[in-house]
Amino acid sequence: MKEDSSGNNVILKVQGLKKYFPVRRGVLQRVIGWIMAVDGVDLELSGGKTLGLVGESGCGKSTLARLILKLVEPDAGNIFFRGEEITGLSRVEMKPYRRFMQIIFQDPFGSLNPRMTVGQSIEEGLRAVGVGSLEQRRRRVVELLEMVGIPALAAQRYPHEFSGGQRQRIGIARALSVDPELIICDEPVSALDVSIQAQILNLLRSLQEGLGLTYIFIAHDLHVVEYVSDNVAIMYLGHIMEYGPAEVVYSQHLHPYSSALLEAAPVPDPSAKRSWTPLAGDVPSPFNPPPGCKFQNRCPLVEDRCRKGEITLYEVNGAHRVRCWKVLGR
Amino acid sequence: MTPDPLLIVKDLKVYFDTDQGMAKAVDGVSFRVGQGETVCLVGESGCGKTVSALSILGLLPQPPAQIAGGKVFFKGRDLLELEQKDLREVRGREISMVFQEPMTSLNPVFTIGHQIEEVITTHEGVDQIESRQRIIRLLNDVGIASPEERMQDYPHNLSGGQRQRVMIAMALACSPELIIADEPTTALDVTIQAQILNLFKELQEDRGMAILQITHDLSVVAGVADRIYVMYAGIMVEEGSVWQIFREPCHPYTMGLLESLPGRRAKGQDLATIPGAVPDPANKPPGCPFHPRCRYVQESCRVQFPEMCDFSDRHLARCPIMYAKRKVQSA
Repeated sequence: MKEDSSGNNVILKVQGLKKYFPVRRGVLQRVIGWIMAVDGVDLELSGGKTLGLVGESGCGKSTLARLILKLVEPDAGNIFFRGEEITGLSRVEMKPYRRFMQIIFQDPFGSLNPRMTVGQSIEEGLRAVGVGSLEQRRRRVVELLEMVGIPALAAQRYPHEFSGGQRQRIGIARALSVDPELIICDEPVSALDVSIQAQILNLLRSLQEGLGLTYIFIAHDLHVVEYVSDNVAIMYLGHIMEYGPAEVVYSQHLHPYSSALLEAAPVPDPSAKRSWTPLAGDVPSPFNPPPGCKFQNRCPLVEDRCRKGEITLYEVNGAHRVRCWKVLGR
Repeated sequence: MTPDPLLIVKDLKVYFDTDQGMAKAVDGVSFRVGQGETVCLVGESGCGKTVSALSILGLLPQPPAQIAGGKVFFKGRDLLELEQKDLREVRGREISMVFQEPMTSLNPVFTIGHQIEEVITTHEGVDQIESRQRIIRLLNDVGIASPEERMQDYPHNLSGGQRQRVMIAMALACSPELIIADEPTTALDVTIQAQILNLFKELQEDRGMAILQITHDLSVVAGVADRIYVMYAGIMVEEGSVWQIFREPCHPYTMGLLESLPGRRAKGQDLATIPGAVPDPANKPPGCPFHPRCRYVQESCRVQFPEMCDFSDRHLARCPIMYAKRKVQSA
């Protein structure tokens, strides 16, 4: 394992990552503007830890996940996996890295082939990376199913025979089949009922402990993210607005957007009466955002200078960073 | 003070005829909504909360659904006995509904002004000038800026939060006494959800209407409800005030639900879970439908359907086992 200067074992490093999608109009399909889905993101992720990505729809969290997996090509920036740059690699060159980076989706039913048995679906991944003989692969399938709490007999059955929670377990087994190091969990529990959600969160946690997995956890439920994450990044229109250890971001957040977002999250406690006014306005479209701070038109602290220069992520202390000069008294 | 009940649902039974047999989606559900109250029906998918709400307004297609029993009294009249024509008079005028996905409930080819106008002219004989003024006032009330221009917009011009505001404006158009809101904020982002929940609260304070909100989200419930009904597998398992339910839940299912919320558990600890999954509505276990997942299960639970037990002031739960336990504890 590679160690960086600070002694952390950095599994993934992302620098200045950008993805702009063109918007075309008219007969000639001329580009009339850009959707700045991800607009300069820097991240570092240590092995065995969980990074939570939080933000409202359109903030770029899913695009960021897809960029990291190289399912879409970035327009600028670099991605390093275990210290090796994977940014410019072709599909073929990417192949050896694929098995180390897997993804779990929100709706496992959409990602499991309905015509294949669960066993075949899981085995397919193993075959793709060339694991052993048929016999060995079958044994591994049984092992994986048991690991996620599904009876081995289920390998013979089809996806539609399972409930949502069980299908998510199968999705997890499939992601685990190739011994990945990094798993991106894209809203893995959003479609599940509360009682089942807790089962899946516990499973993900015990797998992380047992196998030393690293997670990037994307969810819109802020309580879920707080529970699973070591570090949290709050995104807004393609920028990370605040980043830091989960307990710091949740209890000592500084950015006006973080406050608005975290305080808007309903709390399962009737005594938590609301003493605030919710953030006005809608989430603006990432299409041609204004220069300067992206949060300017909803921000209660906005000043003239916020509409001009680019604002960077300032260090608060340690790993805690915030993209706002106002709250830092600069 | 107990407000006069506006809506009383008594022993409602809604069955669906399916290939797997008779699915008892709602099997003897009773609840009431008082004037100006916010009542929440809570439960996980398939518990029958939406089916209960839809059958109040006769919105379920029959067949496949059949109302197998029960009464729905609204201001003393049984809605289940009404003719379609009379029921249509109630719908929209006295009781209106807000759905989860505003995009699918708005007509994409008409302007929003036109769609709100339709509600008003269907129920009230008002002229164009007056209805236009009403529309502008309504849009203003639900927090849509520059309503004169917005009323010319089509649904696709609006954001999700604005569409939900338009839906609420339509629901309010004839000043109903009861609004049934089925997961009204589930499809929205958190900051927008907070705006909409606030809007409901303000409107309720101004107009004094009752709200029956159907949701799976316990965190939302904690902030808005006066009274809560918890459903499981087509039956009511617990009812009480928001404080009773969150502070002293009595049914093992309610306890399990609250414990499995990540907000209540310290990091690094396993979340409490409810083992197993919700039963198939066409194939429910005998006795208490929750018994296969219950940690307090006893022999009697497997055979005998549990009675509603009166724990304290208007706080009921369908669990004789817990009732006996609490009795012993308090004695």
